[in-house]
Amino acid sequence: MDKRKNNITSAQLMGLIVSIQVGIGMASLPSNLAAICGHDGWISILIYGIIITAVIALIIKLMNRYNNKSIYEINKFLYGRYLGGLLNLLIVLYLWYSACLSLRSYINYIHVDLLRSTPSFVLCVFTLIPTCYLAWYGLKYITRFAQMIYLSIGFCLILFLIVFSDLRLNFLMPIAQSGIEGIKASYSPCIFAFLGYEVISVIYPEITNKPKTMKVVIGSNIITTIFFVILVLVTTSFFGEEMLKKSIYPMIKLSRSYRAPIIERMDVLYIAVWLPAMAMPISGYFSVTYYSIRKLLNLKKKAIYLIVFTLITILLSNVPKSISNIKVYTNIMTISGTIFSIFLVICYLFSFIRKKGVKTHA
Amino acid sequence: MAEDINTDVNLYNDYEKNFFIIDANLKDCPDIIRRQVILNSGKKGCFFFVQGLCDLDLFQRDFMTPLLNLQKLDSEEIKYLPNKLPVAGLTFPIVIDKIIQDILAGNAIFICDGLNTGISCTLKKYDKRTIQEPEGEKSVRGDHDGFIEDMATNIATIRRKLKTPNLKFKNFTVGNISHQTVTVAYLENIANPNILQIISDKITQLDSDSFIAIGYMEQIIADHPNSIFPQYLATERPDKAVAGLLEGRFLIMLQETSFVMIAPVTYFAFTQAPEDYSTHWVGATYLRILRTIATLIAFFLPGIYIALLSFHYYMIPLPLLVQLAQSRAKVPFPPVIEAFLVEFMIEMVREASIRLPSFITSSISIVGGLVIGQTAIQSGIISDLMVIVIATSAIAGFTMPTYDLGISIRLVKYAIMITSSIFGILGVIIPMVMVLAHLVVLDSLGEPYFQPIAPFKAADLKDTFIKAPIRYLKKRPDIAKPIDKERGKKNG
Amino acid sequence: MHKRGKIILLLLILIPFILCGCWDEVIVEKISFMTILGIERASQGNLKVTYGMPLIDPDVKGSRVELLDTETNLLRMSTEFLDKRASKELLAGKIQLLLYSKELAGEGRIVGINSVLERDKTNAMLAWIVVVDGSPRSLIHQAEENFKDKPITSTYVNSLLERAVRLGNINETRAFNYDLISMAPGIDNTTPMIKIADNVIEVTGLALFSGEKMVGSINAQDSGLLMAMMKTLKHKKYIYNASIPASSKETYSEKLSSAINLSQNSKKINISIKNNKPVVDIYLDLSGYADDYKWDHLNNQNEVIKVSNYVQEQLRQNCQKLIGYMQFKKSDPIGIGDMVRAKHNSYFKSVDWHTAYKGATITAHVKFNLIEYGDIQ
Repeated sequence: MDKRKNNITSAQLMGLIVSIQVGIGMASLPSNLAAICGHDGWISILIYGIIITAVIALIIKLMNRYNNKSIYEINKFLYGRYLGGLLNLLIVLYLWYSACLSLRSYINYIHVDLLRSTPSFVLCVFTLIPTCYLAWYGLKYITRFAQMIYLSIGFCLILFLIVFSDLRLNFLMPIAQSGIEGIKASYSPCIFAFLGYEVISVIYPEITNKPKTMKVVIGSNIITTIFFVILVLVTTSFFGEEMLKKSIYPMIKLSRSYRAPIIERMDVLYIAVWLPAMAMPISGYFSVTYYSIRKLLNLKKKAIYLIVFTLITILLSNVPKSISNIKVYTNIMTISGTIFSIFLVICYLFSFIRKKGVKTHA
Repeated sequence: MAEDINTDVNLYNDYEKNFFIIDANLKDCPDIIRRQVILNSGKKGCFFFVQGLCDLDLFQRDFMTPLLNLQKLDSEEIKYLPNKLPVAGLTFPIVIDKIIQDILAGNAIFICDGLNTGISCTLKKYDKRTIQEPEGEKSVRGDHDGFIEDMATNIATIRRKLKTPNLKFKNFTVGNISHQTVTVAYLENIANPNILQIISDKITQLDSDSFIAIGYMEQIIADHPNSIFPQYLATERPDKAVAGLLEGRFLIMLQETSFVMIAPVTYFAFTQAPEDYSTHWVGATYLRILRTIATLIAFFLPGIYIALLSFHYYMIPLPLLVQLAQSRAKVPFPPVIEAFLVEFMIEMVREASIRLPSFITSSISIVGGLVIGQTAIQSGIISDLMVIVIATSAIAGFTMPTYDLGISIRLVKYAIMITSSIFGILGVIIPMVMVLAHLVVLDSLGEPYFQPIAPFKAADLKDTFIKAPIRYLKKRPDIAKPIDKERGKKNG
Repeated sequence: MHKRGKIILLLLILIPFILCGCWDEVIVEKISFMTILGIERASQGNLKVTYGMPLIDPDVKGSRVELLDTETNLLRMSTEFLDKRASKELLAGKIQLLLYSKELAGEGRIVGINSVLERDKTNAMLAWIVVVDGSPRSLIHQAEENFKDKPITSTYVNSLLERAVRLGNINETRAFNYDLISMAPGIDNTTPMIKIADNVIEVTGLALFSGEKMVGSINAQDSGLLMAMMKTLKHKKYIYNASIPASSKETYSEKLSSAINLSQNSKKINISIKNNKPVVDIYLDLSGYADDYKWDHLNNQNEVIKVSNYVQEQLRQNCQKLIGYMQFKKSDPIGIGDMVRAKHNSYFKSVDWHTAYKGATITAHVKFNLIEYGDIQ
């Protein structure tokens, strides 16, 4: 493993986290929230964003207690070899599962909006070509590439500005109608939208500027939170909660509902800008999983491993058969992500008890 | 016969043996003249020189005559020879191999009885091209001089423009048969010595017969030889070379080629023209933006057009759609086949016009453009909007100031056209992502190729898509990791 | 090993491309894109559907569009039926207009039919929803056969409607607007209404809906006032035909009306609940430019104020009458119900809004200023 190829600077880290979070959550977040808590989805997003920020702070504190180690080594320190190894396996499985599920959702997105009859396998191969190429060269390039998410976000914000005159603020009122029960019930779509920060624990050794990490990751979470709040506000005030409940991908509908001056319809333009952004969680999780596997199994850099890994990912991603099936698997991913985050917090607390490997403050 | 003789030895004391060895090695080379003489002291000697490479006037006057006038010539007199021979370059080679090399390089050699060294002096004169502006890189407001094949003139041209003692040249010899000199030029107080070390390592590891053009060398020492994007900037213009030196880059010059390579470069160096810096910043910014848009059009316009026609008809505005469908109703081919037809016609015209003599070129353009294009539309093989789209993207590809990038753009364009006919707009997006990913991964001499976009360096952005006024361009760009980061002491 | 791996990878990437058949390909000259769709009621709950498509074949002369009629139970089935008879495959990506007959709108079936537009991603959600005073089928056929000096029907009606929006005469109701407003509680839809007459197609005004059913219609002049109350008349060139006071020196009786170009400064709606009934006050602040007025009589400020007040009173009366009509028909396009839901949510949940709306007290207060009257005094 060429060490230089995996270095990540703080700006790249920010791009990576934002791209994973925004790519996954953005497509169906408003409609899921509308189904659960009506027009107050934005309040839930805000509150869960703050909660996740606190969780992230704890995770970074955990990583800071050890000297340049990732969660795999920390597990070995805290829980011993065998239990730690088992936990590492679970973590890798979780990351792989996320990669496959992101790929499946992405393919579903393409099927609904662009190409209905193209076989999934062909689309999978075609989509994964840039991801494999970048993953082969190392994490550094994936993160460099992930900084392009800001372009897509910028375009989205421009779209929001354009439809500004059609927004009805009355659709958002009365505020807080769904109350505390709504916020509690909406934990599932909200947490799913924010998933992506947990890869910090895996790639922590590769980050070059460690003291700045806390600020950077919290900054990226704040960016994601603000973006999601604006997204939910705009879609809810444009469509109203009833219509929003009935749609699956509200942003596409929004871009289809605007009559642009010359080109009349904007949906393919929006898709063209947003598709690479939606593919970024796939490349993020894919490369992190590949990196973890290579690290844990101590593999050399060979193409055959990458090919096998890609093939298995494609095969696994064909498991969910329809949209409702995907929802089931998404729930599983949300629960696993929550468990993983709680596990990291527990590790942090546990590291005060069992101090093996903790770096002393010199 | 000559192969048996070992020439990697010093000159023997026996004059006849030396002469025999050298003569046998240079057998069947009638252009190498052996002028045998007998000196005043009675000893025998011989001059060797290549007829086409030696200045006969100076040879006769300044080399032959003083030597023939000497009273005696032995190992003691050698010490006084530099004062007696009024020639500029004078060396005393001992090894026979070196003597033969010197003869072949164009020096005049004298060996004689009683001397265990040869006398070699540089009296080169051969026909050189005059300095003229390179055909492929014309500029409106820049200088009109260019590099030529002769290395000494090239070095002199650079030296004229940079009269500083910090301008250093490092020489290497490559090519087992051609024994060419590779010179790396740099400014000592600006350029980064690490990069110089990388270049030196790469060049010393070269193992080849000869490098006929610098392109051969470029393909071997490139970091990513399989990439379609060039990682070194080849230029014939001295002002580009000097600008590169001032930014801390390195110049690789090869003897007997008029192109020099500038390294390390970014992708955006291929989109900059020298007159951007001579013109006012507003005009230069406009030209840069025009070139950026032209690059995007050259890449994506045919692909997007095919995707819209074949998959996303609903994106085309209705008045245009009706007209478009009407003009396409006569055409029997699907859009992608038609696009490739037009594309290949244009490519063939372009390739043909390179090889033809110049007085036929204008008639080719008439034939190609008017007759073939117009007639094809009328016969119903292609539609007019397709011709416009493809021709626009071809012309947009020509706005690139460098030739190397033109081929890359065309190849990517064909790939996008094929995938867009299979996948629609997805077939435009994924190759675009792939090209971006490839550019992000490339590096030129270890430095990232796609800066300042990725990794993002805001300070360098003012010279890529736009051109900031020259008073803001005070810092050297980061690509070459220069030691001295600021230009000038006062004003840029 | 490395080399073989690379070759395998390359083959794996290339094989799908070789095996492909360009599954989703829709080549533009091989399809027929519908631009106008007319739907009306047939017996037994079926639909009578008419499609209009522009013709693109160069060897078909004499007609600009291809019109197809059928009668089925579902809109999508009619496309299926006609695909076996039309000259090219029918696709719905560029539909400009969806014409519904008045009867169908009155039965409340528009929303149900609109859902087909959301199913396929290529369908146009920007199509106009228009109610026809008459039969859409006969309108489409008549327009194509008789109108020799007009462009094809869809282009003609499209430009009519867009112009009418700009003049403030109708509300811009596209398919997605219609759907989302019909889902929202507390607002009702309005759609443009057209009619065919002699050599023209006329935009007659707005059709009012209550819930999903069409209940009434208003003419173009009143629609402008409704637009002022619903959204705004800013940037629209709405012309109001007002009558003006006669002056004492008047000897002729013509020109006792004027054309005022109204523009809106602001709109405020105050809602309160008194005695379990909503009390609504709508404040409109309008200003106008006199575009057509008798020659003199605007030379001093008093005269201008007098005219302003007179026109203001007319505007107020018109608005009040309009509101009364809408309440009678239980149609709430202004969205008062939505505002009640936003501010007095418990009250909204406790009543049936359309009944409460009918019994509500809604008053219009209009303020009008004549600002400019050209270069004449």
